[in-house]
Amino acid sequence: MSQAFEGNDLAAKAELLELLLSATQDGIVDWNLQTSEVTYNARWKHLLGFDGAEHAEYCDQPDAWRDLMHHEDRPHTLKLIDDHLRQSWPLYTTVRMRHRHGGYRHVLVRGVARRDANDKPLRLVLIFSDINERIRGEERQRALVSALPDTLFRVRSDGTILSLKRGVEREGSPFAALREGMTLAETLTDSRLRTRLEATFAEPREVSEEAQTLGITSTASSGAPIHHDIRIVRSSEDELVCIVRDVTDQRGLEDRLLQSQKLGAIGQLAAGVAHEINTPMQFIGDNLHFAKTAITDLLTLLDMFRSTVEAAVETPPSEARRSELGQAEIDLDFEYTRDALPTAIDRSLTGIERVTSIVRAMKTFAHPGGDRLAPTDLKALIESTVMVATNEWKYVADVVLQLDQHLPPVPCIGGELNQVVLNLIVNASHAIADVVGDSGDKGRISISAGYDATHAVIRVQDSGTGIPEHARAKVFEPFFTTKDVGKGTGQGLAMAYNCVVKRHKGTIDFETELGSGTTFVIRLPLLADANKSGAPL
Amino acid sequence: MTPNKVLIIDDAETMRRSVVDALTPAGFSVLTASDGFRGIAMLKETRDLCLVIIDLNMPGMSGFGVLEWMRKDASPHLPPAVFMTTEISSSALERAKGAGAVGWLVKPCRPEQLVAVANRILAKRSEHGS
Repeated sequence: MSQAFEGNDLAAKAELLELLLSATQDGIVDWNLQTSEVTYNARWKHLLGFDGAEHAEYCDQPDAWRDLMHHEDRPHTLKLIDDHLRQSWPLYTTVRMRHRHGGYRHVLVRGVARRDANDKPLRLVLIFSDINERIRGEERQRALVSALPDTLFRVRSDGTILSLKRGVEREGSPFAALREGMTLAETLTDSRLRTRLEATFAEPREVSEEAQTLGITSTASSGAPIHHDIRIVRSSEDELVCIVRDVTDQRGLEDRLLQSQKLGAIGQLAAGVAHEINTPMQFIGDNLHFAKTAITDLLTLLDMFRSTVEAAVETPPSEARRSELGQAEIDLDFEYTRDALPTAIDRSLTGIERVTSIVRAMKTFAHPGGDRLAPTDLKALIESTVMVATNEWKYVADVVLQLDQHLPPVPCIGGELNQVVLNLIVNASHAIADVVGDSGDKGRISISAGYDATHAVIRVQDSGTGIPEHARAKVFEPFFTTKDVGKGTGQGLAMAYNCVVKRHKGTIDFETELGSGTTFVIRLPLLADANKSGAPL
Repeated sequence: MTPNKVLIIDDAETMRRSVVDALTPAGFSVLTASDGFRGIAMLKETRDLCLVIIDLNMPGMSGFGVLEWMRKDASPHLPPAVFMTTEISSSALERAKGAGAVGWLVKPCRPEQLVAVANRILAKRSEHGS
């Protein structure tokens, strides 16, 4: 075959040409530029519905192809033909051609001229390809895409931006500068997207066919932050599709939601904490009441003994007086009081310590530091959170803490991370409550904190129901809940995911087994990467 | 007579070679650049180029980037530019015309076609007396 394509065997070439002409679906117009004769192949006539013998004459007119072209497309096409003949431009354009049955069809017109030794064009062959279905499809797709507010583009592995559809980009958005045909490096000063795309290209294709999301925050000239979420999908070996969505307004709402969730959680906890404080306070009160009565009795006894001692200076106490004192000791239960009073005082002091530690935990929980990553004592954070949440777990479970005493300070947004731990404890308690019910049995919540070379690791393990298969993929989705109405809002784990993954650049995963329980594992980077940790609010 | 100088900017070694092989026997002297940045440097320092052939798709700086630079620089000694690509689309053609390119070659390109285009552009230039 290569002989026919490249060689000088004319017979082979003629045979190949015949084969090609019979196989082609395209209309071909052969225009002799010297004699102005034009000939058409049968397929060209068929393309526009002029197959019948009765149209033969009309269709052989030299001007037929020009006449049937939409009048709006004609001048442009003639200009392109001129550019091709006189200059060095390819002839390649899409036109509308009138069909015999009315209406127009979209046709791709390509052409190539044959020239003599002096570069003078002698002959022009025009190829008409029916691309009506494709164009209609593209029009539908374009309408669909243009209805989206997002910025969409494809990018090749060399960074070139292809088929850009600009969305509604607000003032100051870096994505307003993107230009089709230019590279990302030329149009986008922010290198984060580029770095990420390069990493995606480096991944095996199966991995990058799942959409990945990258959040980018930029600053408008007014100083206000602009947030974009970029979804990246592999579309071919050498191409990625990027969908850039402005999520500035949404992020503002999320921040407010987070804020109100925080207040909501503290409100809910307040009831539990009030109960936690009330119990020792009642206990302290009871003990103090007992102490008051006991001391009154002791003072009465003491008075009796003192007057006896004073009288004894002159005459020793009579037998009657001694038995009166003995009776008073029995009446006032002196032996019991002497044993019980120190215990009552000790118990009161223990109660006061308990209240003090609850108040201290509440303070730690409520004011754990700023809203930026700051070195945080995870042990204290977990202990105080377990303490303020006591009322959530104490009726259904025992909490076992295993906190590595050598755990270094971890870069955290304490005010958000304690919410995460709280949410996990509350979820664990609910899961255990579903197992133990009202039986009075208790489950177990084990919370550990440790670290490896790069990450601090927090594990919250419960002996609850486990997460059913159908719910596993969705646990981190906002508004997804399996709890009864009023018990869960579907926000807890979504918030936890957002906090750990987006704010701390960590990971949150779970292992679960039906009937045995669930373990949530949070991994937080020990070193705050200057580039990544800047996630502003 | 000094040969006419042509610059080819293409990241693919084989393409640069094929342009050198096609144009040298036809009396051209061909300079090569392997990316847009090197190409711009050569455009700056070489005063007597008669044509620059630019690959459209290159890593780092695209062919359009090079053309954009040429248009902004607007030095009178800058040569006419022709693009060379594998793909073709109406919008890219329009854009190239709008940006001041004088032609477009579709890869793969036969040697005689390259020579014809180079000669045609040369003829146009001498017609205009520049």
